[in-house]
This record gives sequence, structure tokens and C-alpha cells, in this order.
Amino acid sequence: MSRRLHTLYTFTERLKLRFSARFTKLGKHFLLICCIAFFFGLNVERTMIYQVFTLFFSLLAFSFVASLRCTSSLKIKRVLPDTCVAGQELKYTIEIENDSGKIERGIQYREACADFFPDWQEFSTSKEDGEEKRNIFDRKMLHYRWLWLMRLGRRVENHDQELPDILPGKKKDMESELLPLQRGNIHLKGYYLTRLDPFGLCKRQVLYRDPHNLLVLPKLYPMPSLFFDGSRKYHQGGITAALEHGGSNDFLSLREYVHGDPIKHIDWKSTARTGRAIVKQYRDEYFSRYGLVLDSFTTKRFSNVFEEAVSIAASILMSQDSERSVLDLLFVGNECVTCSVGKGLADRKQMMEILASVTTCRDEEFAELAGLVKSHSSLLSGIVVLLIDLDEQRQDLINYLVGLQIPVKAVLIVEEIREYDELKDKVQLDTPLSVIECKNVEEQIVQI
Amino acid sequence: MKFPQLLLGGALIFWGAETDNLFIGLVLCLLFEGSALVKTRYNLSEDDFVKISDLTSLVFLGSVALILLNYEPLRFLRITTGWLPLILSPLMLAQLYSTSDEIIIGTRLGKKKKAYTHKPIDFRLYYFMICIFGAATSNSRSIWFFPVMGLLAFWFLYCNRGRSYSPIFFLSFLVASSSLGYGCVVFMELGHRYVMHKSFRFWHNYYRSHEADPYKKHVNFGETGRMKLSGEIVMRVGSSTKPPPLLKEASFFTYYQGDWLGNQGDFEYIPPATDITWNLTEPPHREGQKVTVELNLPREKGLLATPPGANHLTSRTIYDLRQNTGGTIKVLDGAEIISYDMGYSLIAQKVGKPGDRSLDIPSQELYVLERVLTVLKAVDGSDIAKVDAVKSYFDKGFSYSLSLLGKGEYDTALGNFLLHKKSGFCEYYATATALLLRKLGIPSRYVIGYAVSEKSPLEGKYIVRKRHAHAWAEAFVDGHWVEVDTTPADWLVKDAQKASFFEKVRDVFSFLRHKYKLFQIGSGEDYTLHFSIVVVLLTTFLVFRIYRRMKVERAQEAEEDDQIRCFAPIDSPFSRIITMVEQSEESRNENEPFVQWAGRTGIWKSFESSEFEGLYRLHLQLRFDPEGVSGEESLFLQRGSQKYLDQVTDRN
Repeated sequence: MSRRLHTLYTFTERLKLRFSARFTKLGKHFLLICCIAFFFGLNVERTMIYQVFTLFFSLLAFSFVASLRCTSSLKIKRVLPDTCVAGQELKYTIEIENDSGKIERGIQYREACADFFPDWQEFSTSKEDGEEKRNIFDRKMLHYRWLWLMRLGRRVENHDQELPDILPGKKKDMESELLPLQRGNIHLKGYYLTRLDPFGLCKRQVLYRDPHNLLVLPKLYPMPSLFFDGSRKYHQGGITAALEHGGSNDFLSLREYVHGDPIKHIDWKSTARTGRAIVKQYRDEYFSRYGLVLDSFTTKRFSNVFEEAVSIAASILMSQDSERSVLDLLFVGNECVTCSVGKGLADRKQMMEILASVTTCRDEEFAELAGLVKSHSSLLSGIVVLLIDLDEQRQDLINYLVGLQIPVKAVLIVEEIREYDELKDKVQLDTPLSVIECKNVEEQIVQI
Repeated sequence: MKFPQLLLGGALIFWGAETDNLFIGLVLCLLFEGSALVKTRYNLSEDDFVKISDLTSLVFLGSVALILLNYEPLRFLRITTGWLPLILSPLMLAQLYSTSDEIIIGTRLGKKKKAYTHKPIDFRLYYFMICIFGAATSNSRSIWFFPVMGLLAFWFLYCNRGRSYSPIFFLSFLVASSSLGYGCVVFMELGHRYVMHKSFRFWHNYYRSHEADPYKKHVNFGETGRMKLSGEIVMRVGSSTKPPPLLKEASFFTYYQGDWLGNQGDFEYIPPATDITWNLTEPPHREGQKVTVELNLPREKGLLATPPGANHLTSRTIYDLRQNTGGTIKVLDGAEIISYDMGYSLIAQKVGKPGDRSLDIPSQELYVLERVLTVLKAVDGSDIAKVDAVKSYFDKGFSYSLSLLGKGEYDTALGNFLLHKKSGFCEYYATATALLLRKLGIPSRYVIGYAVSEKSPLEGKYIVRKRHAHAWAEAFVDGHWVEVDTTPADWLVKDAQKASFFEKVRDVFSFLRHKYKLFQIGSGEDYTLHFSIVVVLLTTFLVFRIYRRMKVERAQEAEEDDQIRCFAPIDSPFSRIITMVEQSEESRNENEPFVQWAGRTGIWKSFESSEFEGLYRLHLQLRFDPEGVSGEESLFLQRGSQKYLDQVTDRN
């Protein structure tokens, strides 16, 4: 049944696309009126609805015929960037040139994105949030699931923009807009040029192929740089990773011993005086190394919470000064991934590209990520763990890191705060947990 | 999509003129188009819009109830569509007088807020089309309908036309398409007439070739048998005494290849004796009994069930009666449920001897009848003795069953029934009886009707179900038609055993529906006005309740804000330069400084960025600095601007 439904919905969607390519919004209304008038106007003696039908039918017929001959001789060059940010309107310039010997007016322009239809696998396995609450008819027909998947697959929002009137042989620039809805790669096939018929009911839409890939980066929130109290701030990392270069072993200050400091740097005199272990701190060739752990384990194909987690991770990444510290991003997508950003390593742009493409992990266990973090923990001065769920495995990881005396900032992102209220009694964390609701992340992100 | 001003008003006047509601149309037109003059606007939230939808829904439901009460159901759709512009006017008013350009249409009618929200729509186009459809349903047949509707449509299209074409092109298109439209009107009218004419001829010929009467002209084996499967109640019979066991519907004389063909084409009009009484036989009538029948007539026409010896009929729900020579009475016009009192006498009046058709026996059946006659007793006795002999023949060895018999090894189904199976339902028995009587020289006929046997404790009347449909024979003996029912007496019990488990439950609903319909078709009292008043009062009350819950706030008038933000115009000599740049062919790029844009336009041959920027800064200082510019600066701005303006003048 579902496969037939999938075929039916795909067919309907394709039909709708073809229909939209031929009729304007007004034309579609006229077509509907025509159908209603035909149905109710068959008996010409009872009402005069048949006259409504004949008038609207003749208008549509003329429009349709007229739209078949509409062509355009404009040349368009798009100046598109390589990246943009999800949810932020992208404005770019298009250069229009009129090659023909007549004035071109009333032409509409629109970006052509790759069509998306959920495949059978996706349609049969994905489940819309709250689908179980729908009535039995909706649950059987799965129409809302189809609409939901179509919505998820929609990468950009764009609309027809009317081009300015262009005289023969002239060029003009125009600003165009595009709204990327989700992070990831967007493939733009080219652009459509559309001309309406004299009545504005039908249109001729021509696709001009000019492929372009656009990388949509995650949404960013403004946030301050991370600071970990009591952390082992400086690591010896060599010239490439170091912040400052100078005479070797330039003494900077004394400070209390923190787990991981080399024994040879202990200042025994000061230790003897104070009764506590004191180490000498040196100035050169040292750097801070932080870890950013992104929890991607969810059973859902699309999770709003995960999207927010990615955005927060991207915001942390962008807020860090890559000249002064190294940030390791740890997550599990299709496989375990560790990326480092900092001086002499990958730059932030590359990291953002990785974050733009990160997906949820539905096949593996959280233990995969936990293992990755544990093996990496000895290198880190501090760690931020972005969680999208809270259970025993996650609790064990946090407590393990705290046990190693690595400063940990644990952040839980939830759809609604009541979800946390249900979870908080089930786990016992050794460090404070910051909870961020998906609503108004901007205001809550400061607490990290 | 642009919606031109005054178009809605034009459509409303058109609707008013077509439906003879010009005053209402004008009032609505003034209300709608007045929104352009009145500056007051209301802040309506989504919740308010939904409440207005609720209000409109109530008005709509109230209107539907009023229309159903006051008009025939068949005209309901047309009348409702005709009044839709008035009924839906609150929605349109809400959009026009709110601060929003769109309206949310979604009704809850007291339910809690739904999780999802409705998509807002611009209701104007929909309302415009409702006006056009409303005007069309009035069927004024005015010659102005098409041109005026065309004018309104073209007005709308002109504002939304494709800009690639000139207005002349648009007009020529308009003329061509309206000509095609008018051609289609003529074609549809002619086509409709042609189809109607052809279909009338077809049905006329069909009925003529099938002996005139479309309702009941022949019966074949199995027709009554099929009804046996249904427990649906078709009539209710009331009587002060025990009602007659059989009620006759129609009689048939000619039997041919398994079909009984009736002489149903000679129905004659029965003139009513009084407004509500008809004489079925010539008065005076013998004193007899009376039976009251309530019969369902879903198509408002059909055959009457009559007791034997029926002589007169009284009814308020029958308007036109016809009767044929066989005594079959047909209602040509009646209510959906007819209720009639029928007087009958068990001592029936004598009638003339029937024609030869009542003795016709098809040659294919002769062999069967001859073989049966060999075992029949009293073949040479009186007619009554012969009838009794036929009855007693079927008493022994025959049984009742609902299975349909085929021919088997015999030439006809009747042969299989009489000589082999000896089991069947009433149609077999009635046919066999009628033909046997004919073979014995007694005129006979085949009769169909209903058996009256089941008394309903719920209704206190006898109820007749579809499965009580029955067939029997009538023999003409001593100048009377006498019922000869040879079907085994246990047929009613056997049929009842096949009744559904839920039949009693269905009976209750059937009874309630029957009572409601009886009330609806009138018990002499006309409650239409009372109900109409109740509907209006109820709707007004509910509308008032919803309105009270609405918290409509008047939007702050934009005029006040304008006054605050209004500045005295500053006459800067640089303004003309800005206008020239704005009107140039080069559009400004995003975040592009004005000076850079001006340089890119190529209007000035000698363009010095720093000097131009200085002038532009002075212009901005003149506009926005509360202290303005000094006299020297003003002079510099004046001269500098003039220099650039002169360059353009010289070039021209």
C-alpha cells in the first residue's frame, strides 16, 4: 500500500511541478473556476453558470496558446558566492544583457534548484514527529509524512523576481535574493526565465543550465570565547601551534600544579615555601587545546535539536581565537571523525564546511563517540560536550572526563525544558549541566 | 496577484441586479468600497479571524436551515449559492477593515485551539467569484450577463496582465477570446437542446416499445425472491380489526417465457370525490372495514397496496391517482410517505367476465399442465371444486424454499418445479396455480403484493417488510376474483428465520425516521414560520455570544505617526543630482556607496570622486544636521551641484 502511495505522491508532485511551470497562480484559480463551472453548468437551462465556464475557458485557451510562443533573448550572468548561512537571506548580483533588437520587459527570473522527492526507503522508514497522534486515515495514507519529508527536502526558498526593462543591446545589474533553509550542499541547476501571456494566466518557463554548488553553513549565534577555570592552559606544541615565539624557556609566572603538568617544571623552592605544588610557567611555544564533542546519536532522520547543536558547535568554533588555541571537533557521522582547527592546522572555514555536512548517526551506539573522546582526552585542556539526549552512557562519559580532572562544560539541548525535567532524575552528573531550549537559543547560549 | 479597486463593488452590484437584490448589493458595495475611504482599521489576531469564521459558519448553517424549511430541497443548492455573497460578507468585511491584507479562514465552533494554524489567504478573488456564481445561479437569462461578467473579468485581468505585451495586444486578445467565449455559449445552448431532444426521443421510443408504463409492466421469476433478503420496512398497516392478510399491488394476465406481462398501459385518471377522497368503485359502497396504510414512496410515485374489495380511499398526502382495468392503483403525485385510509368490503362487488387473455396458456407449458391434470381430482366439478382441487394438489409433497430453479432436465423452469423439484417460492406457486386454473377453464391472473402478518409492539401497527413481498393467483369464480394462495403456509416463518440479528435495532431507527418524515410532510400544521423564527433567534444568540468573546482593538491610525515623522522639506541643490542617479539605467548594488554608484552611471564625463563626495556630505549635513550648513558651505554646495548639473545640460 505504502509503495503505491509513494508512487502516487511522487506522480502528483511531478504533475504539480509541471502544472506550476505552465500556469500562474491566477491561472490555477481560473482553471479551478472553469472546472467548477463546467460541473455545475452542464444544464444550461437551470443556471447561467455555463456562461461563466465558456468565458473562463476561452480566456484560458487563448492564454495557453499565447504562452507557447513566449521566448526571451536575455543573457544572464550570476555572481554567486560559494558559501552562505542557513536562515540568512543571500543577496547576489545578476548581470543581464539584452542581445535582441527589441526591448525586453516583464521577464521573470528565478533560481532553479534540483527537484527533491523522498525515495521509497526514506518514505517508508522516516516517521514524522507526533505521527502517532494523527487519526487512522492520516496514519494509513501517510500524506502528512510525505508533506513533512518534502518540507525537509526543500533546501531553498526563492520566488520569481521581475527583471527591469532592458533596452536593446544594453546591460543591467540586478540584485537577486535566495533564502537557504538548511545547512548542507545546494545544487543550483541554473535559472528559469519566465514570460507571462497577455492575460497573465499562463506562462512559458525556460530553464537555462548554469550549474553552481552552494555550501550552506550552519546558523551562527553570537557568543563569547570559551574560558575554562583551573585548566592546564599551556601545552608545549612546537613552533607551528604556538602563539608566541621567543627565547626558549622564557619564564612567565608561577602557578599551582595542575594534573598533567611536567614534573620537571615544578619549582621546588616555591613548593617548599607554600606547601603546595607550584610549577613554573613559560612563555613560548605553548598553546591551549580544547575539545568540542558533538552528540549526533538520534533515531530520527531530522532532529531540530541536533540542528541547534550543530549551530551551537559552529558558533563556539567561530568564537574561538584560532591564533591562540586549537579546537578539536569530535563527532560520529558515518564514521568517527576528529578535526582540529588552529594555527597551522585546518582553518575555520574548512571546519564549517565539515559542520555543514554533518548528519545524524542512526546506526551506531553512543559508545562509539565515548571511546573516541576517551582516547583523545589526554590531549585536551578543556572540553565542551554538546548533548542532544541524556542517558547512562552519556552520564558515564561526562563523569569519566570529570574524573580525569579535565574541565568539562556539559550542554544539553532540548526541544522543550520539560523534557529535561523528565530526564534529570534518571542521571547523576558530577559537573553542572547547562540546558538550552531550542526556542531563543541566542539568549541562552551565554550560559555556556 | 493585484486586485483592482472597485472591482468587488462592481461584482456586488452585478450580483444584486441579477438576483433582484440590488439594494443589498448596493449596501454591501458601499461597505466594501468604503474601506478605501475610511481610515479606521482593526487589529485582528488569528483567533479573532477564526471567531469571525465561526460566526459566518453559524450564519451559513442558519441560512441553510431557513432555506431548507422554506424551499423545496431540490432548489436548495441554487438558492444557497445565490445568497452566498451576503452570507460570507462578514469574512470579507473582516479582511477589508483589518490591518492585515489576508484572512485566516478556519472554523472551530467551540472546540479547543488546534495545534496547526491555517494558511492565510487573500479572500477577495474568492469572494469575487462567489458573486459571479451567485449571479449565475439566479438564471435571469439576461442578455447583459455575459458582457458584464466579461467586463469584470477583463478589468481584473488588465491589472494582472503580462507586461511583455502592449495594451493594444491585450485588447485584441480580449476581443478574440470574448468572441470565442460567446461562440461557446451559443454552441452549449444548441448542444444542450440537441442532446435533450435526442434523449427524449430515445426514452419515448424505449417506453413505447416496452408497453408504455415504466414502473410496473412485467414480472419475472426471482424478482419477488430477491426482495426476500431484505428486512426493510416498506409500509405500516393499522386497523381496528385484524387487517386483510394480503395487500395487492398489481395483477398480470399474460405469461410468456418466464415473464408475466401486465396490461399496465391503460391507466385512467380517477377524479377525486372530495379534496381528499377517491371512489375506487362506483358508489354506493357496501359497509365494510377500514385499513390505514402508511407507505414509503421515495420517488413520490408508485403503486398502492390495496386490500381485496377496496372501494374508496381517503388521504391528505396523495394528489393524483390512476387506476387500470386490472384494479391496480398508481399514485402519480404524492408525498414521500403517503398515509391513506382505505375502505373495503369482504363481499366484493361483481365484475364483468375478464377477456380471453385470462385463459391464455403458453404452448411451452402445456405438457407440464397436462401431466399435472392427470393426477388432479374433481376436474369435472364446479369452479369452486376445481379451485379446491388445485389448492389440495399443492398441499401434499410441495415445500417452500428460496432457491431459484433452473430448467433442469425439462423444457421450462415451471416443468422442473411441478414435475421434479416440487419446492420453490411464491412466484412458482402463483404461476403454476394461475396456469393450472386456466387449464381447468377458470380465468385467472397472477397477482403481486404483500402479506400482512407481523405486528410491531413498538409501533402498535402491522409492519410490512420487503421480505413480506408475495405473489399469488386470483381465480374468477361466480363473477368475483377470488384469492388462490397455494404457497405453503410456513413461508413467512422460513423467511423470518433469515432475518438479520440487528433487525430490531434497525426497526427502532426506521420508526424514528418514519415519525420524523410524517411530521415533516405535514400533519396538517405548518410549522415553517415557527421554525424559521427559532432558527433566526438561535443563530443571532450564538452570533452574539461569539461576538462578545472577541476583543477587537482599533488600530492606531497611521496618520498620527505620519505627523510625528513629518519634516519640513529641505531644498537641497544636490537633490536633482540624486534623482538623476536614481533614474539612470545602472541599479545600485548591495552596500554600494552612493558616490561609487554615481560614478558608475557614466552621467558625468569629468567626475571627481572626492569633490562629489564632499558635495554629497554637505547635502546630507543640510538634511540631517540640526545645525544645518554655514553660509559658505551652502554656497559651495550650490556651486558644486550646479557644475555637475551644467555638464548634463551641455551634453544634451
